[in-house]
Amino acid sequence: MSVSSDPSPLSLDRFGIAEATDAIRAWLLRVRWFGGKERRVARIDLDDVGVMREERPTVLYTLWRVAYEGGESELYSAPLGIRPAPHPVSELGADHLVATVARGRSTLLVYDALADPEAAAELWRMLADRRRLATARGTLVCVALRELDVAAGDPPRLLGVEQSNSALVRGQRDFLKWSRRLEPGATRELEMAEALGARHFPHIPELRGHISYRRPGELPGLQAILQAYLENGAEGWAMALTSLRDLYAVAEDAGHASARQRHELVEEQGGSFQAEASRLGELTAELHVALADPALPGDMTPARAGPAELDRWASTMTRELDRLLGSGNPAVAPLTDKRAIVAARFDALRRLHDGGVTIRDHGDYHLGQVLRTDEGWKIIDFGGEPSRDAEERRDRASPLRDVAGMLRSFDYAAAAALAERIRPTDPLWDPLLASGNAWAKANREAFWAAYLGRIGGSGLLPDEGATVVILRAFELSKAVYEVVYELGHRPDWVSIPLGFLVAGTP
Amino acid sequence: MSGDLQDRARTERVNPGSGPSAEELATAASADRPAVVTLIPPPELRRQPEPAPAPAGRDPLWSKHAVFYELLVRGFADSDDDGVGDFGGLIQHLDHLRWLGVDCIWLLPFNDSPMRDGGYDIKDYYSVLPAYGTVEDVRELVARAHDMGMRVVMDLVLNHTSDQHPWFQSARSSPDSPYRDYYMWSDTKNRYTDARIIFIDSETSNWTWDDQAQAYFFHRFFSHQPDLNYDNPKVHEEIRNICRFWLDLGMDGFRLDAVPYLYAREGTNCENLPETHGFVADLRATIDREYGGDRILLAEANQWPEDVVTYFGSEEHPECHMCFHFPLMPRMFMGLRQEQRYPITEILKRTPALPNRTSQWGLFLRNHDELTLEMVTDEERDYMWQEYARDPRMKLNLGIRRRLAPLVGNGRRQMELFYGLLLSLPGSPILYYGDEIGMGDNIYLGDRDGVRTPMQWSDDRNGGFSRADFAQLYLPPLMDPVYGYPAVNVEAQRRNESSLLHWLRRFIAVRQRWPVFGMGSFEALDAANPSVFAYLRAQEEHVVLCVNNLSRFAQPVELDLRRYAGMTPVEMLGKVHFPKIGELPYLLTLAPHGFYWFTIENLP
Repeated sequence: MSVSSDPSPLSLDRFGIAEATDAIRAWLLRVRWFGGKERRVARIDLDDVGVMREERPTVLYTLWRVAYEGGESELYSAPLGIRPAPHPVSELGADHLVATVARGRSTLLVYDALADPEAAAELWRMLADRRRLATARGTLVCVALRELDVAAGDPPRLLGVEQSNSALVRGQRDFLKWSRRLEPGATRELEMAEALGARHFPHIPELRGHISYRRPGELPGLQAILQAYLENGAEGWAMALTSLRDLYAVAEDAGHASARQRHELVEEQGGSFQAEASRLGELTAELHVALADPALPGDMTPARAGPAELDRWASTMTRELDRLLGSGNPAVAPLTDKRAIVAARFDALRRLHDGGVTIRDHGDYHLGQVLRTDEGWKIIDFGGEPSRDAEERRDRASPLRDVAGMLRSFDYAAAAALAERIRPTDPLWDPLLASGNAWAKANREAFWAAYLGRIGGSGLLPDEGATVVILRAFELSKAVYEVVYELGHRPDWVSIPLGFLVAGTP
Repeated sequence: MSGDLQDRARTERVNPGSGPSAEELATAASADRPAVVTLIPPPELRRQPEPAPAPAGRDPLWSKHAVFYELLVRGFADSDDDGVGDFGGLIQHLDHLRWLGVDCIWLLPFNDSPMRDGGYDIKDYYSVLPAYGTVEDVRELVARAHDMGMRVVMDLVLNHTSDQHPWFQSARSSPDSPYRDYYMWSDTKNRYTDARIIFIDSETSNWTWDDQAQAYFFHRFFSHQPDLNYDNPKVHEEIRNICRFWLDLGMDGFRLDAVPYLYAREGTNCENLPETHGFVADLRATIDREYGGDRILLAEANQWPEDVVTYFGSEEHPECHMCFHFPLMPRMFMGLRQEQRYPITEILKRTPALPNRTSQWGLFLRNHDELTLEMVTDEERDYMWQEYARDPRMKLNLGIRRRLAPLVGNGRRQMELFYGLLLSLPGSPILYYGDEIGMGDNIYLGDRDGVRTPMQWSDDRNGGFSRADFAQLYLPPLMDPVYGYPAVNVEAQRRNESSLLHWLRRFIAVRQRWPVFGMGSFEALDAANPSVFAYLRAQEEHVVLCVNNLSRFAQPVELDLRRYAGMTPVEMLGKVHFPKIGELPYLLTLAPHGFYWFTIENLP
């Protein structure tokens, strides 16, 4: 393909696809990873362009500035492939085929380069060569932490699920996450991978490389991260649900049961999860010990939570509780009566003198963030809680926040697995959930006992009394967050976290 | 003189069943006699009739794709109505094994024995327990099996003998006995103290005092089974000669019993010692050299895979052709109970690659011993006990003595799923007699007899096993309404096309048409659903996809098969063409405990 002589560096004209610009805009608005679907878009402009690969296929690095009404804007990253038709990429479908451009007698296909293994392989070559690629307005800097054998194995394949980024797997070897939204500034995910990698923490996927985007006068942003692919993995969530399906099937057969029978049901269950919960508890403690290393840089250095910090936690938690109650949603009415009890649990933080050590924790810890593999459990996704902004996600927190997240996740799994079978309004819900709660209790205890067993003596936690107060406060706070989330997404499920809040702490 | 004893020994060998008495040996060994006194049958008597040629010529890799069938002569069929199975009965029923698709029969010990440990206590390696028949009967069995295209391997108990063996009787009689050094003696029990006690239910020490010998003797198993002393080269020669005797008769190989324990060394746990490997490698080299390379050694080494794999030896110094994969079996049961694949995939991941071209794993669901739990962690062992053996009578020696059918609550789907795994995971499957029809067990019988009851041939008297009086039978056959011979027997299942027996035969036949099951590579496939265990077996252009649902509920799974885009999964039993593989995840739905085998084919 010949490159035209259009002098403007910020135009697609010299690649012969200027006519595709509108089609690219339309494509950006419809793809799953575009996060501004509920906002009013004012305009979309090409923000940067560079050539990642010259020929067959041509691969362009493009950035698009999406400006919303009201002045805010976001930057989206879209590597585009260009091939003359006919070519099988024309079959990619509306998610990946962007535009068809007539060029004289021939036709050019413009498409999502990540969906074309030949084009996507260029990402691995860039990493392997540790390339620095100058674009019209910036530079892509590729870092490989080990030698990459790009010739070996299958070509990279795009994974099915796409949220805020696109993931590629190359021949069961490594896993590349391409940020679709480019944000300047240090990235939690990469920092954590580097810090834990340097401390030889074995329960995360090995970090193998990354690509950052730099532009003069701005902080660099993480464009891509390359990690070891975790073979034969299944989410903790799926494992827990498997165990719970087994439990509920037996409980249904057994009919109504006493508390003691329910306990026995869980203890003698074939598909028990308790051994896994216990292993997860140990591993979580090991994670926290690794992250409590005083040698960690900058805002990752551990600190100690004194009264001021405890007061801040209590205030934040209470504020979020009151924001929920103030929403006026009738579904939260049962909580209104219990506000004082929940708020008292938060206030209790203010009476403590020591909140223990605060660290850069996992930040969004639950059963969906742990993968069972043949080498045991691995922890993934260190990006922090998605609903919080980037700065807030970097804040140090008590390791008990992660613990609370996982403990809540056991409760959630018990309810979610039951919700697969029956609706919460079903008369069988309560008797069956009692069995599920016995399951959650057993697994919470297994996790907590193993966590304490491993973290003991590390000095990370405050005294026993304070530990319990803080853990309960984080659990309740997490449940408040869950209620907010469910009101927005799955109103049927509000009763799950709400039940926990109303019942107080178990 | 020594010549006298050898002559006598020769004569005794030809008339199996009556070895030289201890007194004779002691006399022979007395005073100024030279120490070289052995019981080796001399060459002219070891020369035997040319055995019938083994099936398929001399294929040195036959064991890599064979289906094995383990049986005990005592329990299979009784031809002379004395209540005990015998070689005559086995010969009469060879057609059953051929019909089923068995390639190789593994005979549990049949040498003359006081039978205090199921025949693993041998008192004469050159003869046959009289109740089973004679050496000539064994010769006929091997010849008939070969004629029918099957092979035969036998148990070789080489770690120890019975205390009734003339070697031991002589050895204990005097410190000057030429057989004294055939065994391991000590004045104190405080040697090899790091060696664990294997039969913890019945033994308190690996040393037992012998009044006659005025010394302790070493034994890794029961105290009536003294360990042979492998530091004595004469013991090596004895074992080699025993092997030659049975190989000359046509035997296709040996299952080496308790192989990790041959040597003992102070300061070690006396397992898997380099000297032991050296002996096995020598034995293999001898047999390969003298018998042309198609006779096999099968190791019983109940250890972790990374230790077991050493018994295959190296490319230069091969040891055994096959090793049992012990830890896989309890993990399969755990996977079924937990309804997820990790107990299985973990252990497969931990299984090292086969080190040379002749090596192969031996896979089994159940065997004559208890469900082996030595190789699982304490927590998992507790779990297995809880799941499978709530009745304390089922617990024995850290194991569980149940047959396949009772272990899965007589669930046909579960049995089929287990057989599906057994026949498709990397290794050669070993069936246990009776499990092909879903026989039960009798946990009220002592020791491990519960899984050794008579084979159930028909609903005739004694299950068609024997026409002896009921009270005369070596063990009572099962008669309960679920597993008893009126309900579960070969004859009825032969007549019923949808029986487990017919089902298994069809799957064995499919397996045997596809060498990829025996020789192919193995790759576990990712599946977000932990209840589904999917894997590929591949050899050159042949690719087989196996998908198993370990759950009692129906399950969906999406598999990334894009590397085979454009190709078609063809279900192997019915040759049903499934939808072509495309770029999207390949969706399959599985019935409760269901499984599929597909070939991946390039169809026009």
